[in-house]
Amino acid sequence: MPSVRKRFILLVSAGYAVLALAWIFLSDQLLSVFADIESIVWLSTAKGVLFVVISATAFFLCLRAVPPAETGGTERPLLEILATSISPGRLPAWLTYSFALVITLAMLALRDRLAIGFGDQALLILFMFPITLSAMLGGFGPGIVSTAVAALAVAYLAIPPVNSFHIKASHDLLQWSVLIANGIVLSVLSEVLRRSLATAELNRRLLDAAVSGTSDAVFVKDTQGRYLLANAAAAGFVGKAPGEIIGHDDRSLFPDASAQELMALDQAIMSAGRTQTHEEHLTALDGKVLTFLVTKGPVFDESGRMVGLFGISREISERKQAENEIRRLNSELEQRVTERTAELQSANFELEELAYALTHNLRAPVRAIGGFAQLLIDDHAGVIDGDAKACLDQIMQANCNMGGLIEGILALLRCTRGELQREIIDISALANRLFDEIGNVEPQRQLTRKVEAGLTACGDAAMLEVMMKHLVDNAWKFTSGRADAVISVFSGEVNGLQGICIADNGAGFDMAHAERLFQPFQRLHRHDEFPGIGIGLATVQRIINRHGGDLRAIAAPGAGATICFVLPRTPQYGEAP
Amino acid sequence: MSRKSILLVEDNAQDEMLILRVLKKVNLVNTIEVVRDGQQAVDYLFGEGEFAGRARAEPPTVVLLDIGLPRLSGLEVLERLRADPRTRLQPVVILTSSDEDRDRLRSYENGANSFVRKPLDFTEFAETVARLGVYWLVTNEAPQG
Repeated sequence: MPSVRKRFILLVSAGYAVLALAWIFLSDQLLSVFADIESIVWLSTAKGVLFVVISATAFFLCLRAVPPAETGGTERPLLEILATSISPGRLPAWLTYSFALVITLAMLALRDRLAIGFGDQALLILFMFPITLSAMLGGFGPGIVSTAVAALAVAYLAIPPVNSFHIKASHDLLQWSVLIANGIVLSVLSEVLRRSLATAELNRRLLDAAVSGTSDAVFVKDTQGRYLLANAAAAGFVGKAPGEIIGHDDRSLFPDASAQELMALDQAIMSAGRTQTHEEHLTALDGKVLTFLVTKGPVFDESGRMVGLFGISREISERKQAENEIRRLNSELEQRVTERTAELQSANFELEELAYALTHNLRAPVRAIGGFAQLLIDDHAGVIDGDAKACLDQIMQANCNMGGLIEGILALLRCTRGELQREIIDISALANRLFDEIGNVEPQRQLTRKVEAGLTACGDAAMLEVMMKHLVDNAWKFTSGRADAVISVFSGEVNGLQGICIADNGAGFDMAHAERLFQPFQRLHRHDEFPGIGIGLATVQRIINRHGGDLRAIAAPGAGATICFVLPRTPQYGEAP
Repeated sequence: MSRKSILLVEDNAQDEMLILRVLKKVNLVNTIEVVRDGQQAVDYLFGEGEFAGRARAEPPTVVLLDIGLPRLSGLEVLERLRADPRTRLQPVVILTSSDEDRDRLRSYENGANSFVRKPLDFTEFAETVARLGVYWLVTNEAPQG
């Protein structure tokens, strides 16, 4: 199929040949009207000049309209292309006005000579030539100039009475008026046409810039699936030139299965009559599998009839691959976290069980050591001297300490064993009960107790009781030296942690050692000041950890301590809800 | 009235020795038989295995049974005793170091008559064992009468 450009060039050349031949025969016919050789020679020269002027102008206009060799856009009819020849170009105004003036004056001169052969007729029809050419080339302004010059000149020089603007005969006046009217109409029409062509051309160029500039494939198919338009990107995706795609359907671009699928999809979109966006997975003819994000929709003609389908398609194979990769990595990570968590939980559980069993099994030998030492003291008092007795007492003391440690560590491990069963616990009531209990043990203690009403926490009832007991016992223990002891339980804040606080005005401790506070067997006071094995706050910490909560303490030596805890209201990660 | 006696099932030699000494002080020592694992306990009570010659006619007044025993555990021994009509009513006291809730529950489910934890402190331990001996041999009335 020859390109539009070739066809256009052929059309213009053929048109020129026909018109030029016609000119030769007709104008030579014209010369036969004249008898004198002088007129014939002059006219012959004049018509030659006129022909050159007219054909040069026509060439100028036609060459402007020649379409470029490569068009990615729509096919346009030849006449539409020809029409673009008169669209406003970059010709300077002075040139078009001068052209109008010169060609009109030239026609005046020609008319003057021709009139001799035609019995001094005005020959106004001749001036349609310069007016038409001027209007086509320059639009309204040059057209009007040509009309005005022609009208004034013929009125003065050609229409009787000559050398006067007065027109005597009414048929001359009519002809003259028609010339002016024609000139004005031609100029206006030419201007309107030029402007609308300019607008259309601008729109076409913008659209073309967008379509051919984008890296997305843009295409239009007819109702049979044949491509009417395809930009360079569309052609590039299937490895062809745009010209190789136009007029063909998907069967020439993709393997049969893919093509069938595509064409069925297109038909579905056209039947639905709606624009939609979706992903297409296509195997190109070279076997590459590509993923596209495609927007397709129907194309309608001016009467609203569906004439095809447009598509804008972006290749997202890499992005898609990356997305899949991210998804895969994420799920792998998730899987790994789950596995590691399970492994850790299992390892932790085994360690706890080992610690528990180990500690538990220490009880029998400790009991035996203490038991047999006691039996020595009880049953063999007669044969044991004072020094041996002192040594036995030390064994008994060490044994007692060991027993205390074992019971402490067992309590620590035991307190968080088993299933965590969360419920809302009335901390105020629990604290009051624990104070009552400890108060019954030491009724002689003078102590002010302030428990805020309505404190609640969500947790395991048994664990929270153990935890609160340690906190209450501690506060009780460390205020034992004060006559004005005050212990408060309230909703408050320690180091930015908002929760339930228990504060006393007892011995307190140095914050420099705060990090040891919640570790097992760490004591911040001498045994003769306050007895204990340093397991209480470690137990509290374990219970808080088991609940996924947080715990903080603030204190100063001699100024009391405040311990604040917070428990989450919802189950934590890795725990059944 | 048959002779009153205790069967002590205990695998820890030192605990055994301590228990025997405590019971001796309350004059109960010549009424005690000791076996050292669960299988022995079952054989003793049913007159089987190494105790095949022992007359079944003399069941102990009470069995002091540890839980963590070699071969058969204390809980398994208890289960077998309760499953057999001859020993269904045999008084059994679980005397153990275990402080697991589930051991205590299983013991009662399997029909233990009492569950006593061995205190860590020897003085408490001695008091507990002495009280047990006196209670089961003197105070308590056995089912067989």
